[in-house]
Amino acid sequence: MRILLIEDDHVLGAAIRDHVVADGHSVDWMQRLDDAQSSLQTVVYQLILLDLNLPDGRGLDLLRRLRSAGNVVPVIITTAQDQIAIRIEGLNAGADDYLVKPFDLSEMSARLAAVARRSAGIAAPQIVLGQVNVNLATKSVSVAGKGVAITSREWAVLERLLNRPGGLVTKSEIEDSLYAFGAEIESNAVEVYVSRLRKKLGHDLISTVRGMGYKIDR
Amino acid sequence: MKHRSSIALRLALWLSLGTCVFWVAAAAISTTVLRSELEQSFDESLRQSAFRLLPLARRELGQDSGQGPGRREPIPRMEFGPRSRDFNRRGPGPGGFAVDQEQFTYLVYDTSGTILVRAEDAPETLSELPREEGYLFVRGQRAFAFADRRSDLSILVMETSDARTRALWDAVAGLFWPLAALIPLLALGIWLAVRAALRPIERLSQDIALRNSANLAPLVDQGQPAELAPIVREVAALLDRLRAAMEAERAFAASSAHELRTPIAGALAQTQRLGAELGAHPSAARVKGIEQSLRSLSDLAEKLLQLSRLEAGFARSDQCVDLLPVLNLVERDFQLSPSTGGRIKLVVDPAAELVQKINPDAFAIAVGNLIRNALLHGAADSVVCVEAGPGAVVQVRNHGAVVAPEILARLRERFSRGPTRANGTGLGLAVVDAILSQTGGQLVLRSPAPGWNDGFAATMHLT
Repeated sequence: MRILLIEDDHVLGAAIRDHVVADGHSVDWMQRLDDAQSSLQTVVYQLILLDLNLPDGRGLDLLRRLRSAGNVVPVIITTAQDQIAIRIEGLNAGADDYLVKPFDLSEMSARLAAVARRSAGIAAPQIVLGQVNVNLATKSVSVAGKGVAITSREWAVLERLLNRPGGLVTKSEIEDSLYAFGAEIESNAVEVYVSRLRKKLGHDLISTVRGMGYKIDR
Repeated sequence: MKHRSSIALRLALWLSLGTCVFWVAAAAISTTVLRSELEQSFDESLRQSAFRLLPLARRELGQDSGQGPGRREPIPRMEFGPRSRDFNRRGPGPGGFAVDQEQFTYLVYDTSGTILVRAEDAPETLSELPREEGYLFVRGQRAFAFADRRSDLSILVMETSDARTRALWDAVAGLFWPLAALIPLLALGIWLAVRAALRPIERLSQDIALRNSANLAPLVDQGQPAELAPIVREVAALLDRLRAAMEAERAFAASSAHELRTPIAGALAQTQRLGAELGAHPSAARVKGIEQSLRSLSDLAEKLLQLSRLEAGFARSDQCVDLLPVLNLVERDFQLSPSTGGRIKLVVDPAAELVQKINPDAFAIAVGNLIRNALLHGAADSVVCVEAGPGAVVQVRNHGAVVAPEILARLRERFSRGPTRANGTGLGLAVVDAILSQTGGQLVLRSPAPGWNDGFAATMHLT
């Protein structure tokens, strides 16, 4: 997934960014609302991690603007304020979940995956595709009952495809999930990761839509 | 408790005493005036009696002209006096003149001092008979002497009774007895009047007494007398300043929580990242220790900030709040957390009364602390039951070892912990207890939990 992290605290923001990247997602980290707004106009994100108190405004205002513009990107609020009223206000404004600081990074990963699943319309974390069994919560994959080790990048590609079951995912969308702003995109990276996944999970799992992208039939 | 003096009692006492003193003073003045009037009246009676008796005596002496003026036998029981107290005891005097024997007696004598006529109860001799007209005292009794120059006869009319004194005392008694009888009624009347007058002060006092850290509503100004209006105004201003100060304190506590959480979150996240990056490196254990310390620090700071907010009196709400969404939100937090998800079972009774005057944040803190305690100190991987109702009750039950009664009794004290090896601040139950104390509720701790053979139950009675 390509995730927009909006957090003004350098220490916390850096740790979150590194952790999310380690989970196999690409992250654009913005520390101000106006920068985040600019990013949202140019990139389609699969999830936003939104701090509420930012130097140039309230995160809730950005969320309301997004929802009023019809943007349904999943949003997880991260806040140091534990007031019930603010939580309810955030949920009413269209947030999918919230995390009160300080939180465990592992919990954040779990919440992030759960929100992504809900957003993709996947109720259960367990997806069975023939012989392939994918657990989105534990990020584990098995083929015919045998566990298969996959890297975080491979997982990012697989998750991106699974989030749109039966639907086309363009090559650029997958690239967005793999690379953040400023990262150097390798020209054939997507093909490489798709090829590796086919090798590990079976050649029929991922179909190529020539000249457009890839899809997983369910 | 030291006995405090009552303004109403002091006012009633002093007013009663003051009224009595003025009444006595007025009675004393009246007595003085009355005495003077009585003296004049009795003196006038003496004088009038002398003027009227002497001609009668002279005529009586003149009827015996053959003998000429000389000593006569005492005249028995002459009664005279204008205002006899016992008129039925009147009898005939000289010339049939009705006199009162108990009040006057008389002597008629000539210029040589020979007593010519004497009433029966008059003294037979006197050491000195007065020659001049006027009032005098004879043998301690008031008397009036009158000399008739034409007949050279003189008369001395003397009082023979204490009628003068008795009349005075009767008058004084007439003034003072009603006072004695009316003093209790007067005191009661003053007491009731003072109580009625002080009722607005009592109302104001009760109104002020209702104010505390959780209730700083303005005082009721209507119906207060003009004398109390400045007090009401000043107390209202004081409450405003207090409210502003407490709001500032609450805002500071909330802001402190925010300011403290972010750096702790940063430190914890960086430490977790470091631990993940170190993997199986020998230093990873130290990093884990640092992470654990940071968690403890975070928990402790959180609980201390909760206590700080409580000391600013934030738990009570002026309005009724529906606490069910808050309960659902807290339960959701635990369910969504990977470490505690699936271990919470929330049951809400249809008869649960969860609309209460409690700050939703305070309720969330209380329920959160109880659930966290149950998860932390209860049996590993066991389910924690959160039950709301029936009534204004929320109970959190967990399985686990039974807590001894002596430990149970001190669990709500600050930094007190039960027989557990789990890390905890020892402040969770103290915070819950403080929240319920502020909101008029009660925290009941029981072990084993009701309906079970083991475990622990914390029940919040919200009202």
